[in-house]
Amino acid sequence: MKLTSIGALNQWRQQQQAALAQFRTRVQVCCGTGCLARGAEEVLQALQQACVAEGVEHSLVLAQPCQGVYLLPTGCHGLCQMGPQVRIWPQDWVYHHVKPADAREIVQVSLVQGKLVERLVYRHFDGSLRPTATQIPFYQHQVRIATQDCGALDPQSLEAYVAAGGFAALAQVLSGLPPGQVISMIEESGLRGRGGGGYPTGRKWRACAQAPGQQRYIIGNGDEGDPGAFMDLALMEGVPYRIIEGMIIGAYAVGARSGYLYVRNEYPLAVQRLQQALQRCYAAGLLGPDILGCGLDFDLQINRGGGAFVCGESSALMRSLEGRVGEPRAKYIHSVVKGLYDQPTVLNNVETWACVPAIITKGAAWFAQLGTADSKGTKAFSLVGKVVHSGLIEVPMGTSIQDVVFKIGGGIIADGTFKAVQTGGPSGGCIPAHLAHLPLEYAALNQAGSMMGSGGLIVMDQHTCMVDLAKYFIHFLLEESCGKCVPCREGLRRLHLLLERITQGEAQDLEEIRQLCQAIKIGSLCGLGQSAVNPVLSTLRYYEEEYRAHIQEQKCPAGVCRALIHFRILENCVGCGRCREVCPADAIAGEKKQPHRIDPQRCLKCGACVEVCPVNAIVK
Amino acid sequence: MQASSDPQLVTVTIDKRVLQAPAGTMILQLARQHGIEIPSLCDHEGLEPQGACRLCLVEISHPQWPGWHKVVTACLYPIEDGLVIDTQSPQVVQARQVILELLLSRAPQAPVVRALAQRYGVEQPRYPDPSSNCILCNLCVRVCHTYSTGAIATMQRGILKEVAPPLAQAPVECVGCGACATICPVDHIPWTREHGVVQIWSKEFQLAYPVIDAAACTGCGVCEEICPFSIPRVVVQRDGSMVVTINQDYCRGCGLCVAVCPSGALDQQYFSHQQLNRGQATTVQVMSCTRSPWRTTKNQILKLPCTGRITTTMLLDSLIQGSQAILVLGRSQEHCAYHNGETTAQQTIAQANALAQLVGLGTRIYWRATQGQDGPANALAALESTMANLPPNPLLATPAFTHASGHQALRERLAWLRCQTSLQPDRQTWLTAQKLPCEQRPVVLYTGCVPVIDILYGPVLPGWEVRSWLLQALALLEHWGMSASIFLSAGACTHGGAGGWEHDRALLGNKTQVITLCPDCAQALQKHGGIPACSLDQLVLSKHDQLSWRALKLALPADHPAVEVLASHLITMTQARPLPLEQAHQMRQYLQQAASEGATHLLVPTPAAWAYQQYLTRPGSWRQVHLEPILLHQLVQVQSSQ
Repeated sequence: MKLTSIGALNQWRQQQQAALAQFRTRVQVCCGTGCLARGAEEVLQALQQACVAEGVEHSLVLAQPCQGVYLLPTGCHGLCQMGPQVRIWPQDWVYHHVKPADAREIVQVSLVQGKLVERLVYRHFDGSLRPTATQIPFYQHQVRIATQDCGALDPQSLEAYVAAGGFAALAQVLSGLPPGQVISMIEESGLRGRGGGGYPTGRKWRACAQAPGQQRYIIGNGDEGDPGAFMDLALMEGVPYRIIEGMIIGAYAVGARSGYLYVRNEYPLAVQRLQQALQRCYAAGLLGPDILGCGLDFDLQINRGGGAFVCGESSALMRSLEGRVGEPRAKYIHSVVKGLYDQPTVLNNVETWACVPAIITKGAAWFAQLGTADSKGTKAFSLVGKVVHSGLIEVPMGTSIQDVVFKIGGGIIADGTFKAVQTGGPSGGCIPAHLAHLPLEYAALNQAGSMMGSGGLIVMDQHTCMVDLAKYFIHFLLEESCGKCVPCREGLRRLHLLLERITQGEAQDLEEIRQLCQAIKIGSLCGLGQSAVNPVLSTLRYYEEEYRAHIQEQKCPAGVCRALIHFRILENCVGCGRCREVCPADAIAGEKKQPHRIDPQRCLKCGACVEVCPVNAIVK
Repeated sequence: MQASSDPQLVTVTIDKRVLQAPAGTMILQLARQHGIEIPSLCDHEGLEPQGACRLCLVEISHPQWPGWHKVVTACLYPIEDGLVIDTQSPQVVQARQVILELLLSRAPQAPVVRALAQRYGVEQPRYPDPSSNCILCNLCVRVCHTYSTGAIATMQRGILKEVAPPLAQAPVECVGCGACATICPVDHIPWTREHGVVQIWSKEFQLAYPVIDAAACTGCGVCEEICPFSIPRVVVQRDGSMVVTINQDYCRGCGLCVAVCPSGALDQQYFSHQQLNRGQATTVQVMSCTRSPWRTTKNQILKLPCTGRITTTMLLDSLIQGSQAILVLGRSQEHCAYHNGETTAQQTIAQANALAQLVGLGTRIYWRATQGQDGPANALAALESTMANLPPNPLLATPAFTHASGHQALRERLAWLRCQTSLQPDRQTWLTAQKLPCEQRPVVLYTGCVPVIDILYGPVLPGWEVRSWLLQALALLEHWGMSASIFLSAGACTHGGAGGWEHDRALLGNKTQVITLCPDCAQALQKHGGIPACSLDQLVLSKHDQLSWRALKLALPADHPAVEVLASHLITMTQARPLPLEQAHQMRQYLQQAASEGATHLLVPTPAAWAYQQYLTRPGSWRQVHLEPILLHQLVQVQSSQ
């Protein structure tokens, strides 16, 4: 089936919508990476078997509509913590922690009788049942644009995407919106790069469209490498067609004829789904020569990254695409002028691309009214760490950190104390709890010594040592530095050495660390090196006393740095002997019913004893 | 706005000195030009800057943008008008100190690092961790990729990064040029070069030296001039003969000298004439510079140390043996590792194409430069299919030639080509293209070897194309009442290729009067072909009393000093042989007459002799200085002998 005109697309859309309307009920099983790991695929199979067993008419694909149940795998729903999740339409019930064994009950109760399976429903801390997504706080405060339909559509189905209004933006653009006007729309929307830099997307496109060159390229950056970040993953797995549509529109706007999707190889499912989506688009005439009969030629292909974090940096990514060593270059001449193969190139994060179709269909003004003066629209974050509900979220720019952590995330695990949040991954910085009122927007985060980054939000509680945290990120970057320039390569090694010494309790001059950080910051070649010191600088800025505690008092206030903690058993020990049994080093001795003792020479500081003590008699 | 081809001069201030330079000059480059010191360890004037060492950090600001200032690397930042550059700001100096201290910890033994560190007051590394003497300036990798084959790269990343061949094995691409080892500022890459053997990157190379046949060498010095490194030297032997010597310790083995040697006295180890002249039948033959990145052709590629190594003989041989076409893959001249390799190759190809056209083979040799790193492979494929679709090469034979190289070899091949009855030079087309009359007339003007010589050695008369030559001859004949048509031929004499008379005899038929441009051609036609031919020289001599100087001034303005005398066919100075007395006498008369008319220049034109002298005395040649006095001396001798 090849769509040769916009009319054909619209007609086909109507067919698909009619097919969708035939279904009485839709059952969406989250098949994001998190839920798949918890057995979502088995849940889907079990649901299908249960339907067969119960004689419920059902179909797994939109192409074979029936009067009964549309049972479909979808992209990430968001609340990964409580997966696998199953959503039931039209009631919009959400079931959490679904296991294959629950399938029979879901089919019998919900699909046949139309009743709620209460034990699978979200229970609020006030005890009330919250069956629908609109009632669950995690979803209540979100606004979804890039991740819209991520949990509602079968990511493998072009039919479903088109039925949900997909490629309408492309049709709108191709049916008479000149490229310059498309760029103007993006400019007016105030969309800024979602990959970290926050460069205004429209300005980037315009510069590329105006730069002289024989060829123009566009690139979708899906090389998400921040520890604990999975927004791009969810998008590529959940709504691959939206990214592709955005890129086709971008190609039209800047006049590119070929494009690349750079996806890291550690995302096999994303690669597979994007690959499949590309094949479907080529077959449907949405990619390749003469798209929709409108004379636009565009080729898009996937390139798998080898797993180097630095290849998420635009110039390194382009070198890697060219088949060379993935090392950045100085960008005094921007890549919109001299990018891939030295030709004008637009590189945007896949999330940025995913925002484009919505801006076209709903208008720049609609997008611009979301967010703040400086940051428009919404931003996807992966909310992880010591937060009750971790998962994928998308909120309007300007939402405060506090709201994200407490309203959406549901607060800190085990009623802990909110200490800080790390934004922007290893290149970002930490923002302490007393600044949690800050809005999530580019300028405010930069001022606080952190950055928006690609959208990782790591929540930390009182058990996180900030020196250890800084050391962790520096170690990550030390391993991921490309090694091209001296400050980043040698400087990070030195910085790691100095932090290591602090966590060992050895005396260290904080001024020396600051000087080193400054040299790395101004001296490094690319963004990786320049921002690598942010975790150290921001923790030094807000938690200098913690550093001083390590250096001067040989203490780790959070009780993390092993060299500085000493386990001991208090007087209230009941002598049960459990700690003695679990100790792997035989460091604990004592008579039954008598207080035990720990031999500090043998103690490995593993903490196993702390966890088994029934009376909390072991302390650090 | 910026499209002007002429880069504008802009004014910048470096350390309070106001300087002017073309926009786009890098700060470091400009500073170096004016003796302003900015430290750097990874910069080299022959290589693209990459900004790895970060020592050339400078602070920039602009008076028109208050509050704007930035720390940038001087090697990569192009200057803009009004920029104010501070190379010693406290921030920058402190960063340099930190960087030098870090480098010193890594490579405490490297003298360049120590010296620089000392200048910035860094005496000792604070946390010495000598992992490797290599400072990863990447000069070796860049020099290899820019000027050589791109055999080495960096492996691993971050702190584990090191320079190494792929998979840490002996690199396939390495050609043993040693550029990486010689450019290394800390002597970290081990290599040896002794007795013609280079050992580097666990590989061993026998160098492709030129081999000299002293007996054949005439000491002409052409190799001296072509060598990019001025390594060949012509020396006078005890017996007075001159022979070239080549110092093998410095030779890089490009083969340019071998290609241009006119006497065939030079050959190259591992790239001998015998090996290279073995053309491949019926295919498109691809010859490529070893540094060319294009490897995607479907045809087998003959890799040469330099495309300048190809010779006209080699190309003709390949066509004679039935190659459909030849593609030479070079690099653009600015990327050539030997400064004139590509121009030499293009000259050779133009020559070979012209010769092939002359004998009816058409244009079958193509040259393509690879721009930068990546040439689009499909452009190459398209070219190859174009070549495959040419009319099939009519030749498919493997004659045994006696000479392998030099001009003897070339003549031999041309002679053979002239005898191929399948090849009909398309005279009409050629004449039409040259805008020469092509109708049949009673008298035949036989071009003979002149076009060949014109192609091989350049214009037979300085500033004159063959066409002017022929027009002049036609006009001269017309002046004497003889209407002549032009007969295009590659010649009957030994200059353009012996043996052509046999083929030409059939075509000339029983024409009554054949006038040749070259006296030797006339002789060959008469002697071997029994064709009554006479050379233009003889004709002119026989009619010298009718010769009007003014009538001959055809192509140049009358007041041009160089054409005051156009005694075009007077002196036969072949191989500096003294003239026969009779001719010398006539010449003297002409000289006297010419002198009385105020002539200052004399043209000496037997084609072969003239061309050879021209070639040897071309501007820039060391012989220009020596030969001209010799020629003058001979003229004086001739004059005084009477």
